[in-house]
Amino acid sequence: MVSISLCMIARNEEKNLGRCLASVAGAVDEIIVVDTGSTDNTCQIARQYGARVQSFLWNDNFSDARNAALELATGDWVLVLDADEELAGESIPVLRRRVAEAGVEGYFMKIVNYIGGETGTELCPDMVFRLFRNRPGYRFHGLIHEQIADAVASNGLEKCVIAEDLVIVHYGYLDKQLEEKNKKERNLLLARKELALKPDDRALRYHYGVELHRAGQFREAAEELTKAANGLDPRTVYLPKLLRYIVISYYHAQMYEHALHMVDFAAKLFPDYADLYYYGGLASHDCQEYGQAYRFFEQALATPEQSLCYASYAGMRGFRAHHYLGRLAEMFCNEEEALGHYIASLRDNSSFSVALEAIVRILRPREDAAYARQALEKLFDFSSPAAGSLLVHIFFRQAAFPLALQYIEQIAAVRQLPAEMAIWQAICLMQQRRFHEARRILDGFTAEHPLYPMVKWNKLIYFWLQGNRAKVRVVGDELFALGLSEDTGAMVGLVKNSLGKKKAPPVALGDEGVSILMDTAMRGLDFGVGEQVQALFAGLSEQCLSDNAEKIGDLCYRFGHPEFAETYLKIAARQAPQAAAVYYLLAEIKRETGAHFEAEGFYRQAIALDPKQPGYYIKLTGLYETMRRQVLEQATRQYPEIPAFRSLLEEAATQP
Amino acid sequence: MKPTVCLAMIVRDEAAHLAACLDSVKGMVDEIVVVDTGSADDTAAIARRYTDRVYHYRWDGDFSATRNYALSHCSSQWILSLDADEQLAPGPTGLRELITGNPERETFFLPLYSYKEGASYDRFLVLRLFRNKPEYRFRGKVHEQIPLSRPEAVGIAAAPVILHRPCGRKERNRKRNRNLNLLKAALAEDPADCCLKYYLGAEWYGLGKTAKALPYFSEAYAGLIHEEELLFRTAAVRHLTACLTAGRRWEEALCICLAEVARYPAYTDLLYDGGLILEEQGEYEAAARWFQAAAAAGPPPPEFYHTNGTESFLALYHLGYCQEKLGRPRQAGRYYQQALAADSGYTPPLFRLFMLLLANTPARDMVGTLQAAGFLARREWAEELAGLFFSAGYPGEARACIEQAQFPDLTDAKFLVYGGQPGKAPACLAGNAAGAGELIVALILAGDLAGAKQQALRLWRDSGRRGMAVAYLNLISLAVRGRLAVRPEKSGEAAVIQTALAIFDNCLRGPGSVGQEGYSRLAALAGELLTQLSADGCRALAEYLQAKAEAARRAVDFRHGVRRLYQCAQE
Repeated sequence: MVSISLCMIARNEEKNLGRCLASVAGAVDEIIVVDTGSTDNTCQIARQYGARVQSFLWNDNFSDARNAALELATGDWVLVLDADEELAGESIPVLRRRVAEAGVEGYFMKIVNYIGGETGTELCPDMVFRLFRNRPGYRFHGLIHEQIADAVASNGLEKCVIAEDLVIVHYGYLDKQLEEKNKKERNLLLARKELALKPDDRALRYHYGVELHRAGQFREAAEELTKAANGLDPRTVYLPKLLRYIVISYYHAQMYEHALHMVDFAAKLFPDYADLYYYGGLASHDCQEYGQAYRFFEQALATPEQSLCYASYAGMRGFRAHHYLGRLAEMFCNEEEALGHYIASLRDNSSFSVALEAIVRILRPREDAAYARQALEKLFDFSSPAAGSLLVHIFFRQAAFPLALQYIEQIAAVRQLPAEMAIWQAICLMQQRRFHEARRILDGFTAEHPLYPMVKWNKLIYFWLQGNRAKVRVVGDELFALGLSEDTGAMVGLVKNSLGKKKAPPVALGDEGVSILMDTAMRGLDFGVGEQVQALFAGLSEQCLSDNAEKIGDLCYRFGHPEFAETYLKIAARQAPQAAAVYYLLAEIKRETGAHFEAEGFYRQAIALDPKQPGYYIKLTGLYETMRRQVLEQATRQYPEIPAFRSLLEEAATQP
Repeated sequence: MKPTVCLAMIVRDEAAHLAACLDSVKGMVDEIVVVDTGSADDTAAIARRYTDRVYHYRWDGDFSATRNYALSHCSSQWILSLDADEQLAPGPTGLRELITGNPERETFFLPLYSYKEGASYDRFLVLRLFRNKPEYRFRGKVHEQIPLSRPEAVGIAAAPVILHRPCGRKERNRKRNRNLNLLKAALAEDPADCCLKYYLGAEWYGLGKTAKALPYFSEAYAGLIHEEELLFRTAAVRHLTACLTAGRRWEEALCICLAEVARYPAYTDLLYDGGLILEEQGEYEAAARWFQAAAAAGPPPPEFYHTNGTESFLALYHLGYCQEKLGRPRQAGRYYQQALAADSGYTPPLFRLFMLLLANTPARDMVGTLQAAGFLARREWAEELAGLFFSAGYPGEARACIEQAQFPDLTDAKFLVYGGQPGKAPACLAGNAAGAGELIVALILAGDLAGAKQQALRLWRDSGRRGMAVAYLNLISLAVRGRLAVRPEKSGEAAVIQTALAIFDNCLRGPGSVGQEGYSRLAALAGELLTQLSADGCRALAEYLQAKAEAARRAVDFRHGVRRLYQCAQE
């Protein structure tokens, strides 16, 4: 039978080593562990599993250490593992079969990385060259990115085979990434030094480029990686990843045209590589080529299951692509299509909250809470507290207070609410005029509670919403006594004065104050005290008001006060005559209030200022069609004897 | 001794062109002989202003006989033969220098530039200058030719050039029908004559009947195989591919181009034609390669039938177009600029450049960009661009264009009235009766309704423009009292609709910024006028709005091209 030696290097791996060695039981015939200076039980554990342990004086060179292990191997084949890895159980019989194949010198194995990304744990498969014939010529080289595949491949590229059924499971990927990040300066230096010695080593240049990329030097990374790719044998296994790195580096360097050019080039070689299209989509999106971006993301979705040598990132042909397609569909005013993509995105990755937030937004939970809830529950299961809590956050951010309250109560039924969520509950209650219940919650907090200032602030709003001038003054003074930042203090003053009759000196708020102001105004508008909210804005200095006029106008528009919105947006337009979005909002307001000709002018102005926004043209198209319908309606009334008008009108009505 | 030259012409009903033709040879010929074959207009009288050698000849359907009759009256040593719709362009070499500089030649081919619509022209050689000898007499009833027996005595001249201007469609078609009959008769007599076949094809082609023309060109192409027939062969090849392309027989057309390019590598026009064929099929990448080759090849030798510009501005323009279609707007822009640099009079690239810029750049930044790129330094470009800005809906930018370009006389009152500066329009319009309408609009926009009414009443007195006046009076009345003042007679209604629609349209170009709502109000009034006026008014307005909606949709399409996505998203 063909024999296999496991070769490892290790230092202080007592936590991991057992798991690793247990996984290869019966799979290998010999275990060699080169210890590079452990001070824990690593060596003992290794011996327990029957390993031959040899100490090696660490010399800052991974290759030397690994080669020391190879020197000791007596098997026909060598398997290389790290201590934080294990061989997947189902790979053990495969391993035996693979090493028995003639004509093969080495295998690329599949490595599955468990990482904790922003969207929870993701599997991020890649491939690594870890199984090869034990020959004296096959030795590692390279200081940090030690490699051996090229040495084996020098006997013929086709003799190195990808084996997707040989799987290594890797734990602690994130820790390792973090560790490497901390070492990135050192790594960069080492890589540069080594490259100076071997300027023709493409693989080395590739690793150097990757280090540059990690260090955020994107333009340089793209240049080095391009050099590494130039004239590379197209069968080289790392070529697809290398090309993707070039694309991503150019993208991050904001050199979109270069990125797109590289996508074109790489897609000719690897037309089924999802990541290329995904990043092509991102680059197109960022240079406002929205139609092209849409086609790229659709292409990414259409790619088949990704080959291992692509090491495709999570979601490239799934939730991430769907998410961008949703955003683009919204830009083209197609909410139905957008919703479809967001749902597909969330189905692909249930912890991708960005998609959930978008779905909720499209369902307009403030307008029809029951429908929104019904639709959401039909789509997904929100019964777990974690899912419910996520929804609460989203509803709360979107000022859908009744729905937020429903889910808070659902959570409260099974467990004690965290303090912050309890305050939210009080907020939701007072927004719905359930003052007593709100009061009870707020009064439950003592002055020692770390969230007490937040509670106090909400008490202020509690009285402000009810128009209780005296209480607002009292609570306001109590808040001042707690010691507030200048901005928050100014905001408290603004709230107090908004109920007063005498004119106070104008207030200029900083960023923090403005964000509190917007939150307060939102609650006031939701509650229905529009005049009080206007009084808040009237207390601002002229400069502060005009700096924030767009935001304020947008808020008033979204909360059903087009007349206020128009005033502020016109201030914004005078302040920043180039702001296309302001004109777009003005046009929306005018269209909704039936002032079509003014709307028409404002849409055109928005287009003139930002001609790449598809939504502006699409809304204008719709407006022209509405205007045409009105003309036809009037004509039908005025000339009932002419049937053509009626049939044109009916035709127009059936158009989507 | 200086050689003497006689201009010999045969004419009929050429009063419109003859003087220009005769003026163009002033000082270049010693003698003019004009044979009139029965003009009903002033042709003979005009001819007599230039020469006393005007003769009459009864037309008998034989061009050669008529021309030879003219030659029989020439006493000079050399003959120059021109048609009335041609002119001799003054060049570096005159006729006499050409003759004395080439003493061994007895006949000369001169280049003829046949202008098409636009700046481009086709160039081919015609034998029009020859010794006044009995052996050089015309043969053939139609498309008469001088027989050439001694090749060594034939010269090809680069100058002077004969210019042929396009005449009106009606006149041209009349001539073509006459020629068709003559040619058919001639071909019946000599069925193997490939030149006749080519001419027959050319007449059908000129009439727009490419399917009829095709078999003639095809036979001419197959039959004209000798090198000395190159003149006809190249013309036949290019017309043949054009006919095949028109019939969507792209593969065949392309094969012919390929075969002929292999035979005549210097024939630039075929590279260009091949590019056009591929472009029409949407093969932009391949088309671009052909255009690239054409642009690199330079003009073909004089004996090749040649369309001016295929070696430069036309090829560059199409290169740009292909790049645009391939989604490379920047490269496209560069080629368009090169095309404009090669020929500033050929403006299609300017239009494409403008559209590219418009789709990518906020309109107000465009004037600066164009200025910086030198596009406003040329009068014809500045004028063109101002017009493009106005039609694209940016009258303010049209005005800025003219201002930046510093050709103040190009200022159109419309640019001021609808570009946010109606107050400046009256000064610009002073004494300009044609701009009465713009003046009234300016007054309405400025709020001076009484002044506007006064102007409209003045316009009323001009019976030719009463329809316009009715439109303005009603607009003013709608603004003041909310109802129409006067209904036009049924016969005058069309003019009212046209005027109101034009105002509506122009107001929809007006600035949409805050503080410029006057345009929206005027547009609303014009719309009200149209709907209240009549069913036709309603119809016109509804159609107009439909076209606007479609144009806005096309704008997204042009920019992003994912129509499926937003077609179903309309409210």
